[in-house]
Amino acid sequence: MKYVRAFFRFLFDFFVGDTPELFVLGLAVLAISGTLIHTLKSQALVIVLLPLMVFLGVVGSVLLERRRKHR
Amino acid sequence: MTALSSSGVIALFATVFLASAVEMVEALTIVVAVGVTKGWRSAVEGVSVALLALAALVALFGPALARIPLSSLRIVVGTVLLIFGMQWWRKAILRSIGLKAKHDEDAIFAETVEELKKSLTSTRDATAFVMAFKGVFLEGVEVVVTVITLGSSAHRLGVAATAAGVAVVLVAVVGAVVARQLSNVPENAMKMVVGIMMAAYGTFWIGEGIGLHWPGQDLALLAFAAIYGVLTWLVVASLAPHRPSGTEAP
Repeated sequence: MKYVRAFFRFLFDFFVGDTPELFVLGLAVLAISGTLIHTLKSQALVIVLLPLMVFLGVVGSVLLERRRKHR
Repeated sequence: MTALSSSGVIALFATVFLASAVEMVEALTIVVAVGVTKGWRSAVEGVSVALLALAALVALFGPALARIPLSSLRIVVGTVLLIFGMQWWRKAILRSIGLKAKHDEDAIFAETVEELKKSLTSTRDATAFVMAFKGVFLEGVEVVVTVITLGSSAHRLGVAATAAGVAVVLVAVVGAVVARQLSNVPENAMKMVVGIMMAAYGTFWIGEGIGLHWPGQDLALLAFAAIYGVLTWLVVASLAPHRPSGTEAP
């Protein structure tokens, strides 16, 4: 049991760590892009939106950390 | 699905090589600290057992991945790479704008040596063995994940494994020669490139996995990396604290 718990702790640190917002963002990017492409059938929209969400997500996370440090 | 073009293969090789080199520099710092402080026997034993454990991981998960349908594999791998890539990318930006301390191999070396000095000395040192094992295994897992995810989704596992192998050998050889000058490696710049490349791969594979047809096919990968790189440069330039001209960065 101890080792199972340690394994899940390791997995959590590996994928989530101290940036849960990026973990959620990764899943959100997939969910939003998948939904858009299968409902709106708009390739062009997802081609623009997918990388934009990724970049804005990273910048958002950086600004969040900056605000935390400056508090 | 078409195989990667030559530019795609070069990008794949470069990404896996850089990611593996960065991880191996971190592992080597710990192994050298263990070897110098407690003798090389325990360090070599720890490294050997860690390499065996990593080989077992590859043997266990490598063939299983080949049975997963490619589009599902690309969605899973793309999401994992995107999350990893964004984490590396974010940390590299934070270091560039001075909000996070740079990874200091000298400090890690000194810290490891201090920790080891506290343990009892004997011919076969358990603490030294465990530290060498942990250092190589934990950093090695990241290399294995990078090789398996990038290699299998691009159908170029051989290229990815070769890139990682070259990086490991090169870092080991350079490490053996310069041993304690690992702090000279431009680690943050390498991590920035790896983070951006991983995020670019993640973006690309997620798109491919959900049925998107990227313009320019796998050239889109390089376009993402270039766009993310330029935008990152702008972000770093605008967020970095301004220093009076003539003064040096800390």
